[in-house]
Amino acid sequence: MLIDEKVTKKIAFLARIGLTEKEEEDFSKDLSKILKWMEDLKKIDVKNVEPLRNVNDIELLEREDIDFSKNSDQSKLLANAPKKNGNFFTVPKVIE
Amino acid sequence: MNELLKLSLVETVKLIKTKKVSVKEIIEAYINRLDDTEKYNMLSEKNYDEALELANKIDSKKQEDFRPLEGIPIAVKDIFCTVGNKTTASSKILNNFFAPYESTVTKNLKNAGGIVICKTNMDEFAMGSASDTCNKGEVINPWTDDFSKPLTPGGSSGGSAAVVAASGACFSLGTDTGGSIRQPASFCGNVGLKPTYGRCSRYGIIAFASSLDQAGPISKTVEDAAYALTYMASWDKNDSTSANVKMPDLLKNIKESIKGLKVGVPKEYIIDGMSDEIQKLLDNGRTWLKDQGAEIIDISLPHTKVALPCYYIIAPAEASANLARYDGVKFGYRAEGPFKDLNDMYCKTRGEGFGKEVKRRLLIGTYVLSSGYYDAYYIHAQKVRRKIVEDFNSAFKDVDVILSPTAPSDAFVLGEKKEDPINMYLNDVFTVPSSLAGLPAISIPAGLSKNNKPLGLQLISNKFTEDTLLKTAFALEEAASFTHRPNLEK
Repeated sequence: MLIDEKVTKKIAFLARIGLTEKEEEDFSKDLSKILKWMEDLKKIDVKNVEPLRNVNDIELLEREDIDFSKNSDQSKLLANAPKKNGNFFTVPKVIE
Repeated sequence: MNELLKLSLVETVKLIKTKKVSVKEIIEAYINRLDDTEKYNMLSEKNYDEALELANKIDSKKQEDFRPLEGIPIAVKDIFCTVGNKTTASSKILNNFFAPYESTVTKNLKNAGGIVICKTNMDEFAMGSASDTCNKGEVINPWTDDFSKPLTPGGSSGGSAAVVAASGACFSLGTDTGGSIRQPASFCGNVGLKPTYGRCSRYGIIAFASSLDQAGPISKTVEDAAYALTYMASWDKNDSTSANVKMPDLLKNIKESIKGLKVGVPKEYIIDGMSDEIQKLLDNGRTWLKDQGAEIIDISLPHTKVALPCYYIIAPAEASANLARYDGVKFGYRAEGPFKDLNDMYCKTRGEGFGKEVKRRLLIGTYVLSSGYYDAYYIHAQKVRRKIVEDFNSAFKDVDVILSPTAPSDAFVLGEKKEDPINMYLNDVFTVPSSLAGLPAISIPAGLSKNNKPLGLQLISNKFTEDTLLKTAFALEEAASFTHRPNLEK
Protein backbone atom coordinates (compact mmCIF):
# COMPACT_ATOMS: atom_id res chain seq x y z
CA MET A 1 0.00 0.00 0.00
CA LEU A 2 1.40 3.36 -1.07
CA ILE A 3 -0.57 5.39 1.42
CA ASP A 4 -1.13 4.23 4.99
CA GLU A 5 -3.30 5.89 7.58
CA LYS A 6 -0.40 7.84 8.98
CA VAL A 7 0.20 9.49 5.61
CA THR A 8 -3.52 10.12 5.10
CA LYS A 9 -3.70 11.79 8.48
CA LYS A 10 -0.78 14.03 7.56
CA ILE A 11 -2.25 15.02 4.18
CA ALA A 12 -5.65 15.60 5.73
CA PHE A 13 -4.10 18.02 8.19
CA LEU A 14 -2.25 19.81 5.39
CA ALA A 15 -5.63 20.16 3.65
CA ARG A 16 -7.27 21.11 6.97
CA ILE A 17 -9.88 18.39 6.60
CA GLY A 18 -10.91 16.57 9.74
CA LEU A 19 -11.46 12.87 9.05
CA THR A 20 -13.09 10.13 11.09
CA GLU A 21 -11.11 6.94 11.68
CA LYS A 22 -13.29 5.14 9.16
CA GLU A 23 -12.59 7.85 6.58
CA GLU A 24 -8.85 7.63 7.25
CA GLU A 25 -9.02 3.92 6.57
CA ASP A 26 -11.19 4.25 3.43
CA PHE A 27 -9.27 7.14 1.92
CA SER A 28 -5.95 5.36 2.51
CA LYS A 29 -7.21 2.51 0.34
CA ASP A 30 -8.71 4.82 -2.30
CA LEU A 31 -5.64 7.01 -2.53
CA SER A 32 -3.34 4.01 -2.80
CA LYS A 33 -5.40 2.64 -5.66
CA ILE A 34 -5.58 5.99 -7.43
CA LEU A 35 -1.86 6.68 -7.09
CA LYS A 36 -1.07 3.19 -8.37
CA TRP A 37 -3.33 3.86 -11.36
CA MET A 38 -1.29 7.01 -12.01
CA GLU A 39 1.98 5.08 -12.24
CA ASP A 40 1.64 4.82 -16.05
CA LEU A 41 2.33 8.52 -16.28
CA LYS A 42 5.87 8.02 -15.08
CA LYS A 43 6.62 5.98 -18.18
CA ILE A 44 6.17 9.04 -20.40
CA ASP A 45 9.48 10.59 -21.37
CA VAL A 46 9.22 14.29 -20.67
CA LYS A 47 12.87 15.19 -20.99
CA ASN A 48 13.21 18.79 -22.23
CA VAL A 49 9.45 19.32 -22.05
CA GLU A 50 8.27 22.50 -20.37
CA PRO A 51 5.36 22.17 -17.94
CA LEU A 52 2.13 23.58 -19.39
CA ARG A 53 0.18 25.98 -17.19
CA ASN A 54 -2.10 27.83 -19.58
CA VAL A 55 -3.27 26.26 -22.84
CA ASN A 56 -3.62 29.69 -24.43
CA ASP A 57 -0.43 31.59 -24.90
CA ILE A 58 -1.83 34.88 -23.77
CA GLU A 59 -0.32 37.60 -21.69
CA LEU A 60 -1.93 38.24 -18.37
CA LEU A 61 -3.80 41.49 -18.15
CA GLU A 62 -2.83 44.32 -15.91
CA ARG A 63 -5.29 46.66 -14.33
CA GLU A 64 -5.21 50.04 -12.65
CA ASP A 65 -4.02 49.84 -9.07
CA ILE A 66 -7.12 51.29 -7.47
CA ASP A 67 -8.62 51.06 -4.03
CA PHE A 68 -11.40 48.50 -4.34
CA SER A 69 -12.59 48.78 -0.77
CA LYS A 70 -14.36 52.03 -1.65
CA ASN A 71 -16.56 50.16 -4.09
CA SER A 72 -17.49 47.20 -1.92
CA ASP A 73 -20.54 47.16 0.22
CA GLN A 74 -19.42 45.98 3.63
CA SER A 75 -22.88 44.85 4.71
CA LYS A 76 -23.21 42.64 1.63
CA LEU A 77 -19.86 41.00 2.28
CA LEU A 78 -20.62 40.47 5.94
CA ALA A 79 -24.06 39.06 5.18
CA ASN A 80 -22.56 35.68 4.30
CA ALA A 81 -20.38 35.40 7.41
CA PRO A 82 -21.20 32.45 9.65
CA LYS A 83 -20.31 34.53 12.73
CA LYS A 84 -19.89 38.27 12.97
CA ASN A 85 -19.79 41.03 15.51
CA GLY A 86 -20.59 44.54 14.38
CA ASN A 87 -18.45 45.21 11.34
CA PHE A 88 -16.13 42.25 11.97
CA PHE A 89 -15.85 38.57 11.13
CA THR A 90 -15.32 36.62 14.32
CA VAL A 91 -13.18 33.54 14.88
CA PRO A 92 -12.43 31.50 18.00
CA LYS A 93 -9.97 33.06 20.38
CA VAL A 94 -6.46 32.05 19.34
CA ILE A 95 -4.38 33.79 22.01
CA GLU A 96 -4.66 32.75 25.61
CA MET B 1 -47.17 18.09 -23.31
CA ASN B 2 -47.77 21.76 -24.03
CA GLU B 3 -46.77 22.46 -27.65
CA LEU B 4 -44.65 25.45 -26.57
CA LEU B 5 -42.30 23.10 -24.74
CA LYS B 6 -41.55 21.18 -27.91
CA LEU B 7 -39.98 24.19 -29.61
CA SER B 8 -36.26 24.66 -29.89
CA LEU B 9 -34.58 27.78 -28.52
CA VAL B 10 -34.30 29.33 -31.98
CA GLU B 11 -37.97 28.58 -32.71
CA THR B 12 -39.02 30.08 -29.38
CA VAL B 13 -37.01 33.24 -30.07
CA LYS B 14 -38.84 33.60 -33.39
CA LEU B 15 -42.23 32.97 -31.80
CA ILE B 16 -41.65 35.54 -29.06
CA LYS B 17 -40.68 38.12 -31.68
CA THR B 18 -44.04 37.71 -33.40
CA LYS B 19 -45.83 38.51 -30.12
CA LYS B 20 -48.40 35.86 -31.03
CA VAL B 21 -47.76 34.24 -27.67
CA SER B 22 -46.96 36.21 -24.54
CA VAL B 23 -43.74 35.60 -22.67
CA LYS B 24 -45.84 35.09 -19.56
CA GLU B 25 -47.58 32.18 -21.26
CA ILE B 26 -44.25 30.64 -22.20
CA ILE B 27 -42.74 31.08 -18.75
CA GLU B 28 -45.86 29.60 -17.14
CA ALA B 29 -45.71 26.58 -19.41
CA TYR B 30 -42.14 25.93 -18.35
CA ILE B 31 -42.90 26.47 -14.66
CA ASN B 32 -45.73 23.94 -14.88
CA ARG B 33 -43.39 21.52 -16.55
CA LEU B 34 -40.75 21.93 -13.84
CA ASP B 35 -43.42 21.40 -11.18
CA ASP B 36 -44.58 18.23 -12.93
CA THR B 37 -41.06 16.84 -13.07
CA GLU B 38 -40.00 17.42 -9.47
CA LYS B 39 -39.39 13.73 -8.88
CA TYR B 40 -36.19 13.96 -10.93
CA ASN B 41 -34.68 16.30 -8.31
CA MET B 42 -33.17 18.55 -10.96
CA LEU B 43 -33.50 21.92 -9.25
CA SER B 44 -31.52 23.53 -6.48
CA GLU B 45 -33.66 26.66 -6.55
CA LYS B 46 -36.76 27.90 -8.32
CA ASN B 47 -36.72 31.45 -9.61
CA TYR B 48 -40.35 31.59 -10.67
CA ASP B 49 -41.40 34.88 -9.07
CA GLU B 50 -38.63 36.86 -10.68
CA ALA B 51 -39.17 35.01 -13.98
CA LEU B 52 -42.87 35.92 -14.06
CA GLU B 53 -42.16 39.50 -13.09
CA LEU B 54 -39.66 39.81 -15.95
CA ALA B 55 -42.11 38.15 -18.32
CA ASN B 56 -44.75 40.76 -17.51
CA LYS B 57 -42.26 43.54 -18.09
CA ILE B 58 -41.27 42.09 -21.46
CA ASP B 59 -44.88 41.68 -22.55
CA SER B 60 -45.40 45.41 -22.12
CA LYS B 61 -42.36 46.18 -24.28
CA LYS B 62 -42.42 47.04 -27.95
CA GLN B 63 -41.42 44.34 -30.40
CA GLU B 64 -38.61 46.42 -31.88
CA ASP B 65 -36.98 46.69 -28.45
CA PHE B 66 -36.62 42.91 -28.12
CA ARG B 67 -33.12 41.62 -27.50
CA PRO B 68 -31.77 38.32 -28.92
CA LEU B 69 -32.84 36.17 -25.93
CA GLU B 70 -35.86 38.22 -24.90
CA GLY B 71 -38.08 36.16 -22.61
CA ILE B 72 -36.15 32.89 -23.01
CA PRO B 73 -36.26 30.66 -19.89
CA ILE B 74 -32.78 29.41 -18.99
CA ALA B 75 -31.79 26.82 -16.36
CA VAL B 76 -28.51 27.71 -14.66
CA LYS B 77 -26.14 25.25 -13.03
CA ASP B 78 -25.78 26.14 -9.37
CA ILE B 79 -22.10 26.95 -9.86
CA PHE B 80 -22.78 30.33 -11.51
CA CYS B 81 -23.15 33.21 -9.07
CA THR B 82 -26.50 34.89 -9.66
CA VAL B 83 -27.56 37.83 -7.55
CA GLY B 84 -30.78 37.23 -5.64
CA ASN B 85 -30.47 33.42 -5.60
CA LYS B 86 -28.44 31.08 -3.48
CA THR B 87 -25.30 29.75 -5.12
CA THR B 88 -24.16 26.56 -3.42
CA ALA B 89 -22.22 24.41 -5.92
CA SER B 90 -24.38 21.66 -4.37
CA SER B 91 -22.17 21.73 -1.28
CA LYS B 92 -23.07 21.87 2.38
CA ILE B 93 -20.16 24.26 2.88
CA LEU B 94 -21.94 26.86 0.72
CA ASN B 95 -25.36 25.92 2.01
CA ASN B 96 -26.52 29.45 2.55
CA PHE B 97 -24.34 31.50 0.26
CA PHE B 98 -25.75 34.52 -1.54
CA ALA B 99 -23.22 35.83 -4.01
CA PRO B 100 -22.82 39.59 -3.85
CA TYR B 101 -22.05 39.73 -7.58
CA GLU B 102 -23.22 38.22 -10.87
CA SER B 103 -21.17 35.86 -13.04
CA THR B 104 -20.20 37.37 -16.39
CA VAL B 105 -21.90 34.58 -18.35
CA THR B 106 -25.26 35.00 -16.62
CA LYS B 107 -24.89 38.77 -16.79
CA ASN B 108 -24.37 38.50 -20.57
CA LEU B 109 -27.45 36.30 -20.93
CA LYS B 110 -29.60 38.57 -18.77
CA ASN B 111 -28.43 41.58 -20.77
CA ALA B 112 -29.55 39.74 -23.90
CA GLY B 113 -33.04 39.36 -22.41
CA GLY B 114 -32.70 35.82 -21.00
CA ILE B 115 -34.66 34.81 -17.89
CA VAL B 116 -33.17 32.54 -15.23
CA ILE B 117 -36.06 30.20 -14.44
CA CYS B 118 -34.21 27.92 -12.04
CA LYS B 119 -30.83 26.80 -10.79
CA THR B 120 -29.88 23.18 -11.14
CA ASN B 121 -28.37 20.44 -9.00
CA MET B 122 -24.91 19.16 -9.83
CA ASP B 123 -22.09 17.12 -8.41
CA GLU B 124 -20.63 18.91 -5.42
CA PHE B 125 -18.15 21.52 -6.72
CA ALA B 126 -18.55 19.87 -10.15
CA MET B 127 -16.54 16.86 -8.99
CA GLY B 128 -18.30 13.82 -10.33
CA SER B 129 -19.68 12.07 -13.37
CA ALA B 130 -23.08 10.92 -12.10
CA SER B 131 -24.71 13.84 -10.23
CA ASP B 132 -24.77 11.58 -7.21
CA THR B 133 -22.71 13.80 -4.90
CA CYS B 134 -25.20 16.70 -4.61
CA ASN B 135 -25.92 17.99 -1.15
CA LYS B 136 -29.62 17.82 -2.06
CA GLY B 137 -29.56 14.21 -3.24
CA GLU B 138 -29.08 12.46 -6.56
CA VAL B 139 -30.47 13.82 -9.80
CA ILE B 140 -32.49 11.25 -11.75
CA ASN B 141 -32.29 10.99 -15.51
CA PRO B 142 -35.70 11.65 -17.13
CA TRP B 143 -35.01 8.66 -19.40
CA THR B 144 -35.47 6.38 -16.38
CA ASP B 145 -38.15 3.70 -16.93
CA ASP B 146 -37.84 1.74 -13.73
CA PHE B 147 -37.77 3.94 -10.65
CA SER B 148 -36.47 1.12 -8.50
CA LYS B 149 -33.32 1.43 -10.62
CA PRO B 150 -33.04 5.16 -11.38
CA LEU B 151 -30.51 6.15 -14.04
CA THR B 152 -27.87 8.82 -13.66
CA PRO B 153 -28.16 11.90 -15.85
CA GLY B 154 -24.35 11.96 -15.89
CA GLY B 155 -22.36 14.71 -14.30
CA SER B 156 -21.36 17.06 -13.13
CA SER B 157 -23.91 19.22 -15.01
CA GLY B 158 -26.58 16.52 -14.49
CA GLY B 159 -29.38 18.80 -13.34
CA SER B 160 -28.85 21.10 -16.32
CA ALA B 161 -28.88 18.20 -18.79
CA ALA B 162 -31.92 16.60 -17.15
CA VAL B 163 -33.89 19.86 -17.28
CA VAL B 164 -33.37 20.13 -21.04
CA ALA B 165 -34.30 16.46 -21.53
CA ALA B 166 -37.48 17.08 -19.52
CA SER B 167 -38.23 20.22 -21.60
CA GLY B 168 -38.01 22.35 -18.45
CA ALA B 169 -36.08 25.22 -20.07
CA CYS B 170 -35.18 26.40 -23.59
CA PHE B 171 -31.56 25.65 -22.81
CA SER B 172 -29.34 25.37 -19.77
CA LEU B 173 -25.89 26.34 -18.59
CA GLY B 174 -23.27 23.85 -17.63
CA THR B 175 -19.58 23.90 -16.88
CA ASP B 176 -17.08 21.43 -18.21
CA THR B 177 -13.73 20.68 -16.56
CA GLY B 178 -13.16 17.15 -17.87
CA GLY B 179 -16.44 16.33 -19.61
CA SER B 180 -19.11 17.73 -17.30
CA ILE B 181 -21.19 19.22 -20.13
CA ARG B 182 -20.64 16.59 -22.81
CA GLN B 183 -21.12 13.37 -20.84
CA PRO B 184 -24.46 14.42 -19.24
CA ALA B 185 -25.62 15.72 -22.62
CA SER B 186 -24.83 12.28 -24.05
CA PHE B 187 -26.68 10.48 -21.22
CA CYS B 188 -29.76 12.71 -21.54
CA GLY B 189 -30.02 12.92 -25.34
CA ASN B 190 -29.04 16.59 -25.61
CA VAL B 191 -26.46 18.66 -27.41
CA GLY B 192 -23.67 19.77 -25.06
CA LEU B 193 -21.03 22.27 -26.13
CA LYS B 194 -17.76 23.02 -24.37
CA PRO B 195 -16.18 26.06 -26.04
CA THR B 196 -12.47 26.77 -26.33
CA TYR B 197 -10.86 27.49 -22.97
CA GLY B 198 -11.05 31.27 -22.54
CA ARG B 199 -14.18 31.83 -24.65
CA CYS B 200 -16.56 32.26 -21.73
CA SER B 201 -15.43 34.22 -18.73
CA ARG B 202 -14.89 32.23 -15.55
CA TYR B 203 -15.69 35.31 -13.44
CA GLY B 204 -18.39 34.39 -10.95
CA ILE B 205 -18.22 30.67 -11.66
CA ILE B 206 -17.22 28.80 -8.52
CA ALA B 207 -13.75 27.51 -9.31
CA PHE B 208 -12.89 23.82 -9.49
CA ALA B 209 -9.76 23.55 -11.68
CA SER B 210 -9.02 26.98 -13.09
CA SER B 211 -6.85 25.91 -16.03
CA LEU B 212 -9.66 23.64 -17.28
CA ASP B 213 -13.04 25.09 -16.21
CA GLN B 214 -15.17 26.37 -19.07
CA ALA B 215 -18.86 27.26 -19.32
CA GLY B 216 -21.09 26.12 -22.17
CA PRO B 217 -24.70 25.50 -23.18
CA ILE B 218 -26.76 22.31 -23.07
CA SER B 219 -29.55 22.43 -25.63
CA LYS B 220 -31.95 20.46 -27.79
CA THR B 221 -30.25 21.26 -31.10
CA VAL B 222 -26.86 22.22 -32.51
CA GLU B 223 -28.27 25.49 -33.84
CA ASP B 224 -29.54 26.29 -30.33
CA ALA B 225 -26.06 25.66 -28.91
CA ALA B 226 -24.58 28.05 -31.48
CA TYR B 227 -27.21 30.66 -30.68
CA ALA B 228 -26.75 30.36 -26.90
CA LEU B 229 -22.95 30.46 -27.03
CA THR B 230 -23.05 33.59 -29.16
CA TYR B 231 -24.61 35.46 -26.22
CA MET B 232 -22.68 33.73 -23.41
CA ALA B 233 -19.15 34.35 -24.62
CA SER B 234 -17.20 37.55 -24.11
CA TRP B 235 -13.74 38.82 -23.45
CA ASP B 236 -13.74 39.82 -19.82
CA LYS B 237 -11.19 41.84 -17.92
CA ASN B 238 -12.36 40.16 -14.73
CA ASP B 239 -10.93 36.81 -15.87
CA SER B 240 -7.22 36.96 -16.59
CA THR B 241 -7.42 33.82 -18.77
CA SER B 242 -10.32 35.10 -20.84
CA ALA B 243 -9.22 35.18 -24.48
CA ASN B 244 -9.40 38.32 -26.58
CA VAL B 245 -10.11 36.41 -29.79
CA LYS B 246 -13.00 37.40 -32.02
CA MET B 247 -15.80 34.85 -32.07
CA PRO B 248 -16.65 33.79 -35.62
CA ASP B 249 -20.30 34.13 -36.63
CA LEU B 250 -21.56 30.78 -35.39
CA LEU B 251 -24.87 30.79 -37.22
CA LYS B 252 -23.96 32.18 -40.61
CA ASN B 253 -22.39 29.07 -42.12
CA ILE B 254 -23.79 26.42 -39.81
CA LYS B 255 -25.90 24.80 -42.51
CA GLU B 256 -23.13 24.86 -45.09
CA SER B 257 -22.01 21.64 -46.76
CA ILE B 258 -19.11 19.80 -45.15
CA LYS B 259 -17.84 18.57 -48.50
CA GLY B 260 -14.08 18.26 -48.45
CA LEU B 261 -13.86 18.62 -44.67
CA LYS B 262 -11.24 16.36 -43.11
CA VAL B 263 -12.42 14.32 -40.15
CA GLY B 264 -9.91 12.40 -38.04
CA VAL B 265 -10.79 9.28 -36.07
CA PRO B 266 -8.12 8.55 -33.46
CA LYS B 267 -7.21 4.90 -33.15
CA GLU B 268 -6.49 5.31 -29.43
CA TYR B 269 -10.16 6.16 -28.82
CA ILE B 270 -11.09 2.59 -29.60
CA ILE B 271 -10.47 1.31 -26.13
CA ASP B 272 -10.29 -2.17 -24.61
CA GLY B 273 -13.64 -3.52 -23.64
CA MET B 274 -15.57 -0.90 -25.60
CA SER B 275 -19.05 -2.26 -26.19
CA ASP B 276 -20.28 -3.20 -29.65
CA GLU B 277 -22.96 -0.55 -29.55
CA ILE B 278 -20.41 2.22 -28.98
CA GLN B 279 -18.28 0.85 -31.81
CA LYS B 280 -21.37 0.74 -34.03
CA LEU B 281 -22.24 4.32 -33.08
CA LEU B 282 -18.77 5.47 -34.09
CA ASP B 283 -19.00 3.55 -37.38
CA ASN B 284 -22.33 5.26 -38.08
CA GLY B 285 -20.74 8.64 -37.39
CA ARG B 286 -17.98 7.92 -39.89
CA THR B 287 -20.48 6.86 -42.54
CA TRP B 288 -22.77 9.84 -41.98
CA LEU B 289 -19.96 12.36 -42.37
CA LYS B 290 -18.44 10.50 -45.31
CA ASP B 291 -21.81 10.39 -47.09
CA GLN B 292 -21.93 14.17 -46.87
CA GLY B 293 -18.60 14.52 -48.59
CA ALA B 294 -16.19 14.63 -45.66
CA GLU B 295 -12.93 12.77 -45.92
CA ILE B 296 -12.36 10.35 -43.04
CA ILE B 297 -8.76 9.97 -41.95
CA ASP B 298 -7.40 7.58 -39.35
CA ILE B 299 -5.18 9.48 -36.96
CA SER B 300 -3.16 8.81 -33.84
CA LEU B 301 -3.13 10.70 -30.54
CA PRO B 302 -0.44 8.63 -28.83
CA HIS B 303 -0.78 10.05 -25.30
CA THR B 304 -4.52 9.45 -25.00
CA LYS B 305 -4.09 6.66 -22.48
CA VAL B 306 -2.30 8.83 -19.94
CA ALA B 307 -4.69 11.78 -20.28
CA LEU B 308 -6.96 10.50 -17.49
CA PRO B 309 -4.26 10.02 -14.82
CA CYS B 310 -2.72 13.33 -15.94
CA TYR B 311 -6.10 15.03 -15.45
CA TYR B 312 -6.60 13.40 -12.06
CA ILE B 313 -3.38 15.01 -10.86
CA ILE B 314 -3.84 18.47 -12.35
CA ALA B 315 -7.55 18.97 -11.59
CA PRO B 316 -7.38 17.90 -7.91
CA ALA B 317 -4.17 19.91 -7.42
CA GLU B 318 -5.86 23.06 -8.68
CA ALA B 319 -8.99 22.21 -6.69
CA SER B 320 -7.04 21.85 -3.47
CA ALA B 321 -5.77 25.41 -3.94
CA ASN B 322 -9.12 26.82 -5.06
CA LEU B 323 -11.11 25.22 -2.25
CA ALA B 324 -8.73 26.46 0.44
CA ARG B 325 -10.96 29.53 0.65
CA TYR B 326 -13.73 27.57 2.39
CA ASP B 327 -12.53 28.11 5.93
CA GLY B 328 -15.75 28.91 7.76
CA VAL B 329 -14.67 32.50 8.42
CA LYS B 330 -15.88 34.87 5.72
CA PHE B 331 -18.77 32.91 4.22
CA GLY B 332 -20.35 29.51 4.16
CA TYR B 333 -20.77 26.82 6.76
CA ARG B 334 -18.95 26.71 10.09
CA ALA B 335 -18.98 23.69 12.38
CA GLU B 336 -20.32 24.07 15.90
CA GLY B 337 -17.66 24.76 18.52
CA PRO B 338 -16.08 24.64 20.98
CA PHE B 339 -12.75 24.50 19.16
CA LYS B 340 -9.31 23.85 20.57
CA ASP B 341 -7.78 26.39 18.22
CA LEU B 342 -8.15 27.90 14.77
CA ASN B 343 -6.88 24.77 12.99
CA ASP B 344 -9.45 22.72 14.86
CA MET B 345 -12.15 25.05 13.54
CA TYR B 346 -10.87 24.71 9.97
CA CYS B 347 -10.60 20.92 10.19
CA LYS B 348 -14.04 20.41 11.70
CA THR B 349 -15.68 22.89 9.33
CA ARG B 350 -14.13 21.36 6.22
CA GLY B 351 -14.53 17.80 7.48
CA GLU B 352 -18.25 18.35 7.96
CA GLY B 353 -18.79 20.77 5.08
CA PHE B 354 -17.30 18.74 2.21
CA GLY B 355 -18.69 15.49 0.85
CA LYS B 356 -16.75 12.30 0.27
CA GLU B 357 -15.69 12.80 -3.37
CA VAL B 358 -14.60 16.38 -2.74
CA LYS B 359 -12.52 15.25 0.24
CA ARG B 360 -11.02 12.46 -1.82
CA ARG B 361 -9.94 14.87 -4.54
CA LEU B 362 -8.67 17.49 -2.11
CA LEU B 363 -6.54 14.80 -0.48
CA ILE B 364 -5.14 13.69 -3.85
CA GLY B 365 -4.49 17.31 -4.79
CA THR B 366 -2.79 18.07 -1.51
CA TYR B 367 -0.67 14.93 -1.79
CA VAL B 368 0.58 15.66 -5.32
CA LEU B 369 1.44 19.21 -4.32
CA SER B 370 3.12 18.27 -1.06
CA SER B 371 6.83 18.61 -0.51
CA GLY B 372 8.72 15.68 -2.02
CA TYR B 373 5.95 14.76 -4.48
CA TYR B 374 5.41 18.06 -6.25
CA ASP B 375 7.91 17.42 -9.05
CA ALA B 376 7.21 13.72 -9.43
CA TYR B 377 3.45 14.17 -9.74
CA TYR B 378 2.32 17.72 -10.40
CA ILE B 379 5.13 19.10 -12.57
CA HIS B 380 5.41 15.77 -14.36
CA ALA B 381 1.67 15.86 -15.14
CA GLN B 382 1.99 19.40 -16.49
CA LYS B 383 4.73 18.16 -18.83
CA VAL B 384 2.59 15.24 -19.95
CA ARG B 385 -0.19 17.75 -20.54
CA ARG B 386 2.04 19.52 -23.04
CA LYS B 387 2.64 16.20 -24.83
CA ILE B 388 -1.14 15.74 -25.07
CA VAL B 389 -1.51 19.23 -26.53
CA GLU B 390 1.25 18.47 -29.04
CA ASP B 391 -0.63 15.31 -30.11
CA PHE B 392 -3.64 17.44 -31.01
CA ASN B 393 -1.51 20.13 -32.66
CA SER B 394 0.02 17.61 -35.00
CA ALA B 395 -3.37 15.97 -35.68
CA PHE B 396 -4.86 19.33 -36.66
CA LYS B 397 -2.19 19.72 -39.33
CA ASP B 398 -4.02 16.96 -41.21
CA VAL B 399 -7.64 17.22 -40.13
CA ASP B 400 -10.27 19.89 -39.35
CA VAL B 401 -12.25 18.00 -36.74
CA ILE B 402 -11.93 14.82 -34.70
CA LEU B 403 -14.76 12.32 -34.22
CA SER B 404 -15.17 9.97 -31.25
CA PRO B 405 -17.85 8.63 -28.92
CA THR B 406 -18.69 10.99 -26.04
CA ALA B 407 -18.82 8.39 -23.29
CA PRO B 408 -17.95 4.69 -23.08
CA SER B 409 -21.55 3.70 -22.24
CA ASP B 410 -25.14 4.87 -21.99
CA ALA B 411 -26.57 6.17 -18.69
CA PHE B 412 -25.87 3.71 -15.89
CA VAL B 413 -27.86 3.00 -12.74
CA LEU B 414 -27.26 5.55 -9.97
CA GLY B 415 -24.98 4.28 -7.25
CA GLU B 416 -23.48 1.61 -9.49
CA LYS B 417 -20.01 3.13 -9.64
CA LYS B 418 -20.07 5.20 -6.49
CA GLU B 419 -17.76 2.99 -4.44
CA ASP B 420 -15.22 2.59 -7.22
CA PRO B 421 -13.67 5.99 -7.95
CA ILE B 422 -11.40 4.81 -10.79
CA ASN B 423 -14.27 3.13 -12.61
CA MET B 424 -16.20 6.39 -12.24
CA TYR B 425 -13.26 8.42 -13.57
CA LEU B 426 -13.20 6.23 -16.72
CA ASN B 427 -16.45 7.89 -17.81
CA ASP B 428 -14.33 10.83 -18.89
CA VAL B 429 -11.91 8.86 -21.04
CA PHE B 430 -13.03 10.48 -24.32
CA THR B 431 -13.68 13.97 -22.99
CA VAL B 432 -10.66 14.63 -20.79
CA PRO B 433 -7.93 14.84 -23.48
CA SER B 434 -9.61 17.75 -25.30
CA SER B 435 -10.21 19.47 -21.95
CA LEU B 436 -6.52 19.25 -21.12
CA ALA B 437 -5.79 20.82 -24.52
CA GLY B 438 -8.42 23.56 -24.05
CA LEU B 439 -10.15 22.59 -27.31
CA PRO B 440 -13.79 23.18 -28.22
CA ALA B 441 -15.84 19.99 -28.29
CA ILE B 442 -19.48 19.04 -28.62
CA SER B 443 -21.66 16.02 -27.94
CA ILE B 444 -24.51 15.30 -30.35
CA PRO B 445 -27.24 12.71 -29.69
CA ALA B 446 -26.64 10.08 -32.34
CA GLY B 447 -28.42 6.88 -31.45
CA LEU B 448 -30.07 4.66 -28.89
CA SER B 449 -28.41 1.88 -26.92
CA LYS B 450 -29.91 -1.60 -26.67
CA ASN B 451 -31.60 -0.33 -23.49
CA ASN B 452 -33.21 2.45 -25.56
CA LYS B 453 -31.13 5.15 -23.92
CA PRO B 454 -29.38 7.98 -25.77
CA LEU B 455 -25.78 7.76 -26.94
CA GLY B 456 -23.72 10.75 -28.04
CA LEU B 457 -20.98 11.29 -30.56
CA GLN B 458 -18.28 13.83 -29.85
CA LEU B 459 -16.61 16.23 -32.25
CA ILE B 460 -13.47 18.17 -31.33
CA SER B 461 -11.97 21.01 -33.35
CA ASN B 462 -8.97 23.28 -33.13
CA LYS B 463 -8.88 26.21 -30.70
CA PHE B 464 -11.23 29.10 -31.50
CA THR B 465 -12.81 27.28 -34.47
CA GLU B 466 -16.26 26.81 -32.97
CA ASP B 467 -17.71 27.70 -36.39
CA THR B 468 -16.15 24.62 -38.02
CA LEU B 469 -17.11 22.49 -35.03
CA LEU B 470 -20.75 23.57 -35.15
CA LYS B 471 -21.01 23.22 -38.91
CA THR B 472 -19.81 19.62 -38.65
CA ALA B 473 -22.07 19.00 -35.66
CA PHE B 474 -25.03 20.31 -37.62
CA ALA B 475 -24.29 17.91 -40.48
CA LEU B 476 -23.93 15.03 -38.04
CA GLU B 477 -27.16 15.97 -36.28
CA GLU B 478 -29.03 16.04 -39.59
CA ALA B 479 -27.74 12.63 -40.58
CA ALA B 480 -28.36 11.04 -37.19
CA SER B 481 -31.85 12.63 -37.07
CA PHE B 482 -32.25 11.73 -33.41
CA THR B 483 -35.81 12.71 -32.57
CA HIS B 484 -36.39 10.54 -29.49
CA ARG B 485 -37.52 12.22 -26.30
CA PRO B 486 -37.92 10.59 -22.91
CA ASN B 487 -41.42 9.50 -22.03
CA LEU B 488 -42.24 11.43 -18.88
CA GLU B 489 -45.83 10.31 -18.60
CA LYS B 490 -44.78 7.34 -16.46
